[in-house]
Amino acid sequence: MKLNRITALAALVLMSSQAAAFEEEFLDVVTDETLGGGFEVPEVLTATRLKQPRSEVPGSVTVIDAEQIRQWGVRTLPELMRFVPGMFVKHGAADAVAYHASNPNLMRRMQVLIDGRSVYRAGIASVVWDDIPLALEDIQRIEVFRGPNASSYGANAFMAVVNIVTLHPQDTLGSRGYIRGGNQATRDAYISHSSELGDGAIRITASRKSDDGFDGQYARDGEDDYHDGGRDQFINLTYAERLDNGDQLLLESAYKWGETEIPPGEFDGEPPEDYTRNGFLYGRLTQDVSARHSRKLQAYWQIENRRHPARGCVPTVSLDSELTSLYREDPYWAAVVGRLIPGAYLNQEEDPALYAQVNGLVQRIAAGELTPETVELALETTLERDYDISQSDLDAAQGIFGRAFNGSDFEQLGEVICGSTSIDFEEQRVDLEWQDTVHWNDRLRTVSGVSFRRDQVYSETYFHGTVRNDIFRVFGNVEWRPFDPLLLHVGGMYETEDTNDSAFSPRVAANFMLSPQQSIRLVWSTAVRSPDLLEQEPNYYYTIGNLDDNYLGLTEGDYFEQQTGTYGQLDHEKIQSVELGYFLNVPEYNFMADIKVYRDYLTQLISNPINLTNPDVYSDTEMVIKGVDWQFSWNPAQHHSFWWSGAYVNTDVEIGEDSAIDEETLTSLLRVETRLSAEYSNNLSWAYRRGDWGLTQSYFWHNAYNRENRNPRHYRRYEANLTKDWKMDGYTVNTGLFWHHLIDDGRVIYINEVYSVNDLWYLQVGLEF
Amino acid sequence: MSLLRQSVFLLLLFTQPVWAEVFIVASETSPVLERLAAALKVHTPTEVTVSLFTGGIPGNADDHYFLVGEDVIRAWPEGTAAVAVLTSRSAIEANRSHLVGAVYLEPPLARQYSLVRYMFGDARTSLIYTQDVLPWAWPELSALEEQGVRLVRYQPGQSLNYALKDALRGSDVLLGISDSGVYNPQSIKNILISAYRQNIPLVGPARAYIRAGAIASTYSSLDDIARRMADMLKPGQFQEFSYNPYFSVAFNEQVARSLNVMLPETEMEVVSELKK
Repeated sequence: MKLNRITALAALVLMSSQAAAFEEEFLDVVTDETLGGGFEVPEVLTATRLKQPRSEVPGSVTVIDAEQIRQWGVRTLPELMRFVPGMFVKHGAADAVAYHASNPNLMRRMQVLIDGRSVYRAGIASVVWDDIPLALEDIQRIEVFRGPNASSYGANAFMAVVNIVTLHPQDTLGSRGYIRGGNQATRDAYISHSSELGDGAIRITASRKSDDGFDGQYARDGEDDYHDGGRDQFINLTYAERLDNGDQLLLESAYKWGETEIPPGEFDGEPPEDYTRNGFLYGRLTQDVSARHSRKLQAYWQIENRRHPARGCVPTVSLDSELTSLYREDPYWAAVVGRLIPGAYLNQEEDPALYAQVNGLVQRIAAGELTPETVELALETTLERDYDISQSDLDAAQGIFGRAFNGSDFEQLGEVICGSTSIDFEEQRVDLEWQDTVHWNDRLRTVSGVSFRRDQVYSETYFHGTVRNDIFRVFGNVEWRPFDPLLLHVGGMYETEDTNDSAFSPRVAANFMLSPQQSIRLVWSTAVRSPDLLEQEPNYYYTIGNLDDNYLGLTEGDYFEQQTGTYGQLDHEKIQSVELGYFLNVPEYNFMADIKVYRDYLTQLISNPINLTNPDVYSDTEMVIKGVDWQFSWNPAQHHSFWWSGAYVNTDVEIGEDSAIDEETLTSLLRVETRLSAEYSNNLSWAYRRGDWGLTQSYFWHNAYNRENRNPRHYRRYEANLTKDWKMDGYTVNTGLFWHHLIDDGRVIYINEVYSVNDLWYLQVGLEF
Repeated sequence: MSLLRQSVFLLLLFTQPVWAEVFIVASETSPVLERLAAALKVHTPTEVTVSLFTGGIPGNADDHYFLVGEDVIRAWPEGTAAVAVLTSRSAIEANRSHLVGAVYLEPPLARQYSLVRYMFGDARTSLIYTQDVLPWAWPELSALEEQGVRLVRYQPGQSLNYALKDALRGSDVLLGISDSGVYNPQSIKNILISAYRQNIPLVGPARAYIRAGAIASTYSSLDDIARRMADMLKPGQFQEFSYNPYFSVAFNEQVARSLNVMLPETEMEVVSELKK
């Protein structure tokens, strides 16, 4: 014993001096319970698995999580986007969402990704929200990166990137379902089941959504005379597994089909519908090579098939092949011969004076009595149009009109015949991406990778065959912390493709950390939007078959206005953005704030619409957008949460000089770029929950939508979502009542996109077990 | 050793009053025990000896015995007063008749929940426990439930994922409990990854899980344990079963940063706050 005592004392003398040094070590030993079972707890949330803190992100981010989606109670993704500062939404069929400012007809300046898979269309640059086979109930969170982010996501991550992360099937184990019904023919259903399968978890979801869209400008009190409803349904399968070696595997697939009503256009005999069939297969393998090194391989294939069968009616003359030849030489004169003049015949009863004048003109052209100068003068006086006509133009018109001569007059120029058309469109994308993330040390992190993408489109109408575009990408981003309060980001993406020139999109950013949860950021970023295949390689014309009897004796014909590669090489749309941002998080008050002041300079924008009647498209619009975005969230107590987001947007648009367009078109182009934005906007939301009850109220106030217009429009909406759950023995019955009140019931964008009621509502009943 | 130092030692030995000796008895030797002995020695003038248990009782009847580990406790003869240390409460409760007192290894749940409240205010908290939780644990769990913590029962043998899904749904924080049926080195990966995926931090169950990715936990360091043992050596205090009133707090700074959670400036600040 004595020896023991001496040793203990000796040890004490030695150890007390080293106490501080070994304390760290033995604490770990004790708490690792070496004494107990000799086990050691593995490091799970390694550097590579940890997400970047909000305060260190090189840009402005808005996150919407599953709980907020439940609280707000909306049905569609675009409706969710209204809560994001600076986002503007055109409700209804072909919902467009714009960040700050963009053309409302196509949503083409924003990238949308679902678990890393781009749903930006392969053929026509746009995102069709209704075609995304994803239920809001299966979303874990939506991260909206507000600003260009091509250095991470490549071309088309132009104004913003919407990154949707779906729920892991393990987080939805069990079954869920609901039915929903309300006015505006809202009829939705959702059913989903998740279970463990082998070492992983699987979820199958089936969902259906339908409503009748807007009601049209003349509809009153619940009537609907606007053909823009939609019915969409899909089945979605998700499987996730952590493999034995620690790799994570994610597999997803879906099949979707739907019908969308299309408001009838100029040639539509009866209101047409789009039939869509979409599907995709997606796989991702994430491997943690070490606690500081991970890599990811992702591959997907997606297909979107769109059919648009319709019965179209056109003037017979518009199918004359000589008119087509004339169009190739002089599209403006061809439009007079094929559209303007037949129009006068069509409107014979409405405007007899014009008809008499035009008929006289046609007779004299057909008789070869006129010179180009006299025709120019006649057009100027009768139709108030200014044209430059050559003798050969006149000769061609003479031949075309001559064929309509029935022996006594040219009445047949007013002949309208009907036939069947079908716009078929099949887009496919294959994408393969490899990404490598290395945390070299606590101060240096790199993310780099390569990817290949093939976009392929088959369409008889748009391309008369198949066109494709291969894109190769290399990207790298470095995050360096030279000293604690400063974080620098430098990155870029280089892309080379078949259809467009190569592009390099860099970004440089600095985050000054005022504290771990408070930072000021300065960001300079760039991005491009690649002109799509239709913009670059159109071979676009309508063929109408099964024609009625006509004076040309045709059974099938091509409409004379055609776009066949005449646009030439359009440049990339470009954006350069400078942003000064401030982020603050005060966890003890659950308060978060983000403010962004920015100046975006956009060049080479393509403003002109791509359609048959528009022969000229240029990439020469310039736009400067300046403003402020703000976003605050505050959960002062467990039962309450507040959300306030908003923006001030100042746009200055300039149409390039290349565009040979008249004043009217110029004004309309100016308007189109700012049509979907409000100068000031505020979105407020207050969610209250207690026990099984929940009430969320939201208010949207956007002033001066469409500022270029003489009468800017307000968008004021109030929404309330009341929910109540009943829990019993493992089952939860949930019910909800959603109410959307239109304080301003006027249109926001288009004249027919209005409701005939001021209140939209639906009821929902669901079961979960 | 110099002659001088040797003389000092001898002097110390002979001038010291004859007190009862303290034995730390374990079934295995470990450097940790030597360190515990050394730490205890700082707080008490008593002799501290680490002894390997081979069936016999070291020292005399008036010596103090601290037993480490369930093996020793179970084999310890009833009637010889002994206190368990560095041993989980479940092992202690299972062999209570062999002991007169104990310092439980794990932190008390109430203290862990105070840490949750301190860090996350009135965040919605849930806790997963195994179905066959021992009777002694019930009062603690019930007390938490009364304070608003949602208890989710997990039946071992089934998949933990269902319990995990229920617990994470509608929660802001997951509170870990020292229940090896739920938290063990095999299950922790799944628990942490699932919770983190939903931005939900795990508090506890023990300091060992901090390195794995738990955001924070209270724990008792060897010094905290030694201080408690020293207190128990004071007259009349040996016979007490309790959690250790001395504790520290550990954080995972990387995880906190990533979850946008602000950590307290100093550990001391938290400890003094939790002691209130």
